[in-house]
Amino acid sequence: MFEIRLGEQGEIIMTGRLDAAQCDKALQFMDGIPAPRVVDLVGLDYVSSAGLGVLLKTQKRMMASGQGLRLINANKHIRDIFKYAGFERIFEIVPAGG
Amino acid sequence: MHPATTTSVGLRAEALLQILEVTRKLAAPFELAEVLAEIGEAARSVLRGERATVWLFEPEQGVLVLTGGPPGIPPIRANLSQGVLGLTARSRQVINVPDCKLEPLFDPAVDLDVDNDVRCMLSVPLVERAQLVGVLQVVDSENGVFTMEDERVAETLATQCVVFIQRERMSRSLAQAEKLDREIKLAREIQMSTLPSEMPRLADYDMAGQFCPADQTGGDTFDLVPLDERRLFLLLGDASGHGIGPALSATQMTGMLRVALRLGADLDAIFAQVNNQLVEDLPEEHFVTAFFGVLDTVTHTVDYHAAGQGPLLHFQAATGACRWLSPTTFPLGFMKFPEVDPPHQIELAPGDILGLITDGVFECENPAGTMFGTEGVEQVLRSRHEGSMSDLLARMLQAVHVFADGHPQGDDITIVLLARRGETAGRTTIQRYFPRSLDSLEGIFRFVGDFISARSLDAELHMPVCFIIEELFTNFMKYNAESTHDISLSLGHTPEQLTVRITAFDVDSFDVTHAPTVDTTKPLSERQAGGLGLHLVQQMADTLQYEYAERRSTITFTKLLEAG
Repeated sequence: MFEIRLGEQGEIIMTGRLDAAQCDKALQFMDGIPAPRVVDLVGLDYVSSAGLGVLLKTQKRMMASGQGLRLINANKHIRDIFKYAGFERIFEIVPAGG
Repeated sequence: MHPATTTSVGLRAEALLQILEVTRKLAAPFELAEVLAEIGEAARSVLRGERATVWLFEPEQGVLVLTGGPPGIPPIRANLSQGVLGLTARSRQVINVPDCKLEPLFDPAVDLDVDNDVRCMLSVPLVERAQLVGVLQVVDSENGVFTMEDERVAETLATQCVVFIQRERMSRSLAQAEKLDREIKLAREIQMSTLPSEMPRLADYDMAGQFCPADQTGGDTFDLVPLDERRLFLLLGDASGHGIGPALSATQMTGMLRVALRLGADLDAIFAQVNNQLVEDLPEEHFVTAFFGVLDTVTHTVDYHAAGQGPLLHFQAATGACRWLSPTTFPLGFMKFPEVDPPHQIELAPGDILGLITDGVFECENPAGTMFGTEGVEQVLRSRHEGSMSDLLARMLQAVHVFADGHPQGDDITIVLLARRGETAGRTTIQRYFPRSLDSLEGIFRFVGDFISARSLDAELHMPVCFIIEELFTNFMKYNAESTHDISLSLGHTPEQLTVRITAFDVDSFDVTHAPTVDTTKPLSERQAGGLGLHLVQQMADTLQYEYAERRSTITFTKLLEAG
């Protein structure tokens, strides 16, 4: 189960499991977002490399305008994966409560 | 001694003392013949007669029987219409005949008048709780005739004697029952001794078998005999009937099988010959249902004949479904086979289980009269098929026990389980196939989650393990899209590590361990989404191996488990 929607402050909220079967849905949503936003991952349980690809692709598009996504509230496992993937260098990553 | 003294019950003291003496003597354990002789002697003595005899009533035949004659002389039988004897039995009254010559009912044939010189007779019924036990007859009183007092003495003596006769009869039938019990127990022990004492070990296979005898009846048996390094003979039998017979039939069948195997006979020949021998040996109404099969651990097939034995269980790991197979022919021992049809065959895929189960399991009833059935077996399998077969077997027996809820076990229960293991042999390994589709991912995550929680492994493993599996699985889908074979996923663990093995069939080689490394320090503009996944797999797995053989790609990775 994967859900993606906009929150009250205009942030992108992802919940559930972002796996290869869900990344089309995620990419379609992200493609509809014109400008950089906060992405709240507090309800995201899992992300696969396909999910990372969605974030990476969106970030590339956004960075053309000089500003990128801000990933907040990711759980420890997802932060580990971000780290392995070198995402700290590419995204602004804010831990839960940070 | 004062012969004239009478007691408060109106018996002369001497007679009472004699009766007490008889009672004392009879209190010691005796054979029935001795008891009867003792009673006869006591009656003759107390009643001062010439001779005395004790007839016993046989209720089944409705006759009185006189034993205790010289050895070799058969017992004398009298029906209840004959003589004073018959009248005593019918009326349950003491009959005092002062002059036998004048008594029209008197019949020398049964009334002890061998030499045709009996003068008088006292005939006394032996009765307990309104049931006729026998008749005591005393003839020729020293005093000329038997008096009314003699009648009362005789009645008192008779009351005492009945107790001892009944006691002897009861202990005799008890002893017979005990003897039968002992014999059944012995037959059971022989039956049990033919069962395999340990499970054969064969590569890629795990098996378990157990026989749980019911109290008295049943003729289950099983045998697992390795024929050579790759083949195993499987036997399950259930002989019909009650008592010792089925146990003997089951034992006989196992014996015949072993001799046939020693002689190198093949499956069809053994099946036909064992049947033909049973036809000759078994009583007409008896038969044996049996499964005769040969497992080939290289082709992973079981060739079998199921003579009235069914349903047979084939659990298919790929779908999680149970296939129930019917017997292939009628039970053994009915009639000779004119010719044996070719054996049927079951193919065992990795994770599949063959279950040979006797009807004691299916027909196990609970107090409400509902049967355990195939449904009960399936229920256990659904949650337990990935464990060891000995564990699954124990769970099945436990489920039957719980289901019966104290209802007595009516029949023998025998279960033989044979599982083809996944690619990684070992008890803590489970394996399942998943179709090449992204839709499989959800099932894979659940499969991994169940494995981790069922074995109380660190829940933190779930995410990285799923990440790696998803990456490898989707890679297999992407790079060998033309293959239609499902992808095998097996999970295993030791205290030190979790091992995951993913195998794709009919594919070209693609070594994930040599995938180009991704420089994650590059600026975003130079980063590509592709290749990142395998890079992360290499980072996250503690070990990663790739093997390719027979167009089969196998990737094995491990994650170390933290102690405690």
